[in-house]
Amino acid sequence: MRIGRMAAIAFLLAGVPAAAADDEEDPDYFFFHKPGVSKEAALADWEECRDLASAVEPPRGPSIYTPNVAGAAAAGLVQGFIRAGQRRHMGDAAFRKCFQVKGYGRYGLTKEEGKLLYSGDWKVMREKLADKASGPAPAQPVLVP
Amino acid sequence: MSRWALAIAAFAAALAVPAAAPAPAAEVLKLAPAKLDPKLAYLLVRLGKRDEKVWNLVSFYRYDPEAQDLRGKGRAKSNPVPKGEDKAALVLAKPFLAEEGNFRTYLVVVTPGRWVIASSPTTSFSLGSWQFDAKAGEITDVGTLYMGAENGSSIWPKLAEIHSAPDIEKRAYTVADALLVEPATAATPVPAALAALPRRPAGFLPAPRFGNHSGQMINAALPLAGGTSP
Repeated sequence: MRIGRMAAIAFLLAGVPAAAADDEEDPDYFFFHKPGVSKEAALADWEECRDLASAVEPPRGPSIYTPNVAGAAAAGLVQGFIRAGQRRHMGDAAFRKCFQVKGYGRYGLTKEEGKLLYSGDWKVMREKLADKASGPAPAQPVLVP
Repeated sequence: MSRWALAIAAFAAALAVPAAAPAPAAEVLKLAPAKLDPKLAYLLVRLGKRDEKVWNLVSFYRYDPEAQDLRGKGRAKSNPVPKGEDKAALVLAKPFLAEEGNFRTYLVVVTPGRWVIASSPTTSFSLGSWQFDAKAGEITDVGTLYMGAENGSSIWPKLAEIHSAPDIEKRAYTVADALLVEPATAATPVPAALAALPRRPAGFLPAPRFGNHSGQMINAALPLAGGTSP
């Protein structure tokens, strides 16, 4: 389960509830790093990528015919869950694409490191993320973007 | 729901705002005009097929190069397109002027001005695209546009070699499209009915960024065929 990672992404995508995912191959937590980037540039990149990724909306499917109010409410609830899940996955992919295009590498973190990095409000978190992005070269291998 | 159905739905949603706007929609012509309107611009666009069965779609949008955003939106909110002008142009599978093999050729009548290649069926090229001027009274040849998912499914070799991470490819709706622009050259075929009309290749300039106003996946266009990155 990738509850931790999804929670982190959900936090970055304001208003998206956290939930579980099922990718076993990809690390639950990760960060981005770019050799030689300044902290100011990393901050700007984080803001821009957050802005672009948080705008992603899953496509709307066809409406489901329901014969009564209760049925419509249930169908709406299910569709809402599906769309929320799709939005999280799309937002995750959009973040990664944004940093890939901007020349960053993606690196895995342990659960403990990840929880520490993705904690606090956005102002606090973005400082830590920019420090990480502009800090020393990571020791761990780079992940597929 | 199939991936293509999702893509169509996404594209329709992406264009919901422009479609509801008072500005007139750009017109995609079914037939070549005998002469050009000196007050209007014309975009000549060739689209490569998306895959073996599906034709592609593309949207163009008026661009503010100073604010680096779509006019009237985001950083360019204070620079909207005047009422009565086109702010977006959508090229769908039909109508088209000509079809040959895996290509269709389109002629789009638009308001003259600065335009940007904005989005594919699934992806906003917010991370870098190509802008160009469309001048009144002439055809701006935008060349050939190839778009396809970054999961190896494209029929075009340069796109088919692009893959995303396995966990992204596992969910088709999270895969961004690649965009390759092949500028028009003297060797690029032009429908015979347009050959005598004033026409020049688009002068592409990088459009470094714009907001994801369509709410799609995001990507940057590939370098121009034989050229530089946006």
